[in-house]
Amino acid sequence: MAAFLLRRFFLLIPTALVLVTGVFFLIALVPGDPVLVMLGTEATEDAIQQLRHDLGLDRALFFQYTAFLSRLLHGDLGMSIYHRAPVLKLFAQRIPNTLWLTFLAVVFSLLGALPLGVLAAVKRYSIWDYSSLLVALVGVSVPVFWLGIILIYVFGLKLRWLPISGVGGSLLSWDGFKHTILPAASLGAYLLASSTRLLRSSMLDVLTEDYVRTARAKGLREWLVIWKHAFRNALNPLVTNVTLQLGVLVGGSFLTETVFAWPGVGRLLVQAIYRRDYPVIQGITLIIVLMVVVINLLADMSYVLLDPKVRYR
Amino acid sequence: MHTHRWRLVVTGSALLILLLGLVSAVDAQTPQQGGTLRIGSAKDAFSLDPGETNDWASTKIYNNIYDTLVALDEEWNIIPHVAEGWESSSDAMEWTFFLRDDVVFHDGVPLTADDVVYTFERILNPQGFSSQKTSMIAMIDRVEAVDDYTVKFYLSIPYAPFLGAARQHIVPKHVIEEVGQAAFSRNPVGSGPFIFVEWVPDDHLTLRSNEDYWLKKPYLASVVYRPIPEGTTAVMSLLSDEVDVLEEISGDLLPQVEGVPGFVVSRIPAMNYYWIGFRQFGDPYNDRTFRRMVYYALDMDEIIAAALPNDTGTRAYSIVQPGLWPRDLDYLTSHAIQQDKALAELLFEELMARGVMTTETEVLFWVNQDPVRERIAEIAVSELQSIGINAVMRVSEWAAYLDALFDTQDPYLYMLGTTPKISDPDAALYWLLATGPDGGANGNQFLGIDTPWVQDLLVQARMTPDRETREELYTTVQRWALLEQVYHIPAYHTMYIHPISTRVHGLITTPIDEWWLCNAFTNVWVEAD
Repeated sequence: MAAFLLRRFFLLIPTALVLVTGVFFLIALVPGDPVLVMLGTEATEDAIQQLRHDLGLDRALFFQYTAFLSRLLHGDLGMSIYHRAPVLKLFAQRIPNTLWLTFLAVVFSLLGALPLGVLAAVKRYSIWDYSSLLVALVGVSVPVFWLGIILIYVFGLKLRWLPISGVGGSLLSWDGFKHTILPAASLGAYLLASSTRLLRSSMLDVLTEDYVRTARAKGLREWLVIWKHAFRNALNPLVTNVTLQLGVLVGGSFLTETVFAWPGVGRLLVQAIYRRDYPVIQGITLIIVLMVVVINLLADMSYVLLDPKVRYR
Repeated sequence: MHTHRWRLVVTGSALLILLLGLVSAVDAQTPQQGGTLRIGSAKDAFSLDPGETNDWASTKIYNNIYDTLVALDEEWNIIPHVAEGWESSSDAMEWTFFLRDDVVFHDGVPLTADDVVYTFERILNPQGFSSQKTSMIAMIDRVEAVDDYTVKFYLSIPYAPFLGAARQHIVPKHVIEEVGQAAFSRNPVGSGPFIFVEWVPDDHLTLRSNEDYWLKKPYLASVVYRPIPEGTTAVMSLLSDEVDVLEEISGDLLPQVEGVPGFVVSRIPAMNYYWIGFRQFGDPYNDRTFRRMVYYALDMDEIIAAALPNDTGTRAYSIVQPGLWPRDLDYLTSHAIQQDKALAELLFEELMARGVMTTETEVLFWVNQDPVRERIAEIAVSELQSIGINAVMRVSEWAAYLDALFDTQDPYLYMLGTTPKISDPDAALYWLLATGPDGGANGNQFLGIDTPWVQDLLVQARMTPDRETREELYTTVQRWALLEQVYHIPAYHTMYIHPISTRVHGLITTPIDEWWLCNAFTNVWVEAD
């Protein structure tokens, strides 16, 4: 197991390097100049040249790349062109908001997917089955920003049950939690839908297995059969799905963050792309890559816990 | 007996009720101390250092943190502020300002001439940061403190509109020298009616009242700015009372707020200018007949009405905003080209006969991602196509659009806008039509023109303080550019539209969309719940 982990860890470095290099050169090739964006249409030629020079953007691209790499080796992710603050600091300010939002989105989606998926499989062709399929279809088709606005309209404006936008107070307070409910619900909708379907089909497979018949034959109570035996074995594909989606959620929460005015990493990244804020784009991409790799590693390790047949060498 | 007493009772009660009604009506209009104003912004601020940035989102906020050397009244005239008075030499090259002696920064240190000198010098020569305002005051050769409360400016050229350029926000020298510019831009100290409290980027920015403000005590206790980028969310925040006013609202969302009890929509014509321009770097754009033909092909009134529904904008006929001198709008409007498709077709045939164009020649209308400009481009392109021109439309995001505008010499039709920062025709006209490098971006870059005699006129207009002469010069230049040469097709001026809760009083929206919450002509207050 230890050897396995070590091997995966070492693979991480070339993966990240290739990705970050790719992003660096790709974004540099896209037309657009951060200096012009910052100074605006009425900028003087002198001011433009001065700022370009101050930011090191007038050097050859290759030297900019080597400078970037050497900074990286010292753990320095660079300074944002637009915010004039360290990229790491900008990220650190926002990542708790995005992580908390993503975490709650996953929790909500599982709270819905687990009962729905299991019920649909167990009570096949019943109302539970059909409604869970409907929920899955809707959740997968509905655009996240539309869902967000509808949720705001119903629960925020008409019913006045929940606040409309922003983080409110501290994230972990009751007020902060209220502010997170709607964005987490709209972010988690897609995951809820896909997880429900996956769990349903996975359960259906497992329920036809021999060991389930054996358990029933042994006289175990039905709910024990389902939850202790069938469900645990059906979890594998669900875990895979959730971890695959997590990486997407962290960086792709931009739409939800925009609709709900949520100060998260998604918004920071997309704004940086529009402004051509190269250090932010590169830094955040690198961090997201690392996070996704680590999450996948954790997921792989979790299979060992879930399924005794899985062992890594 | 009974009837008499009964009548007395009735009349007495009626009078009492009337009196109570009057009193409560008066009470509702008496400003209340200590409210909080929650503003829904469209964008987060960029920097709270006024020497660094001119952008709208930041200016709105730091207008309330700092004091300017001189200020503006409701009619857009310059009035004393930190400077109680001023005088200029007869050639408009030396300007002396006399400062008040009772202005104090938020940390208790008095504001003196040294701070004023520091403010202007750091914009002229920014060290370690770049300033968007350098070109605005580039005519200053040097500035010095004559004594603690007198400042003298020496200009390198006579510059009549100097008072507008002198309207800069005074920053505390001792604070910036101690903490550095970067830290200061995120943690500002000023002398204005509101004190900075905290800024959580992309979430909120809070100010609290400066109770010892020298001008007057602000009614508001605190102000919170919340950036809400999605328009629909912003409107719902307003309607559900999470914010009290929105900085921006798009035309299609306006009906959600208009007529809703508890809200008022304030509208004011903006002092900005948006236009369709011709980049004359090649054929056929540098041919005057071509430009006239394009103008004749378009029904600009209808295009603008379609692109800016619900009265969110008005058709422009001049570069200089309506309401600003030289008031030449009548002439420019009556002589503006009106749509005449038959004439446009004739001109097209003439161009083809001369070999300037063929039916295959591509006419490119290139705009950035902006719903209004995209709409204008769509309609314009289809109207051009209807007279046989091979017109195409292209949309790019802003950064890519800027790149092409600045770094290429390609000819095409483009759209831009400008909001001059000072109420002087020089602000827009010089930048757009001057052709020599003079410290400012110039017409050369966008228009590809080179007419030295226009440059001379514009420089002359800057140098003479005589208003009548300047009016004549600017009128000549504007008529030449718009009517004779058709370098621009003037498109629109927008309206600044703000939905405001009726609990907010005294919030006056201005034509350059700068907001002041406590100044010479207003002191905003909010009714408690």
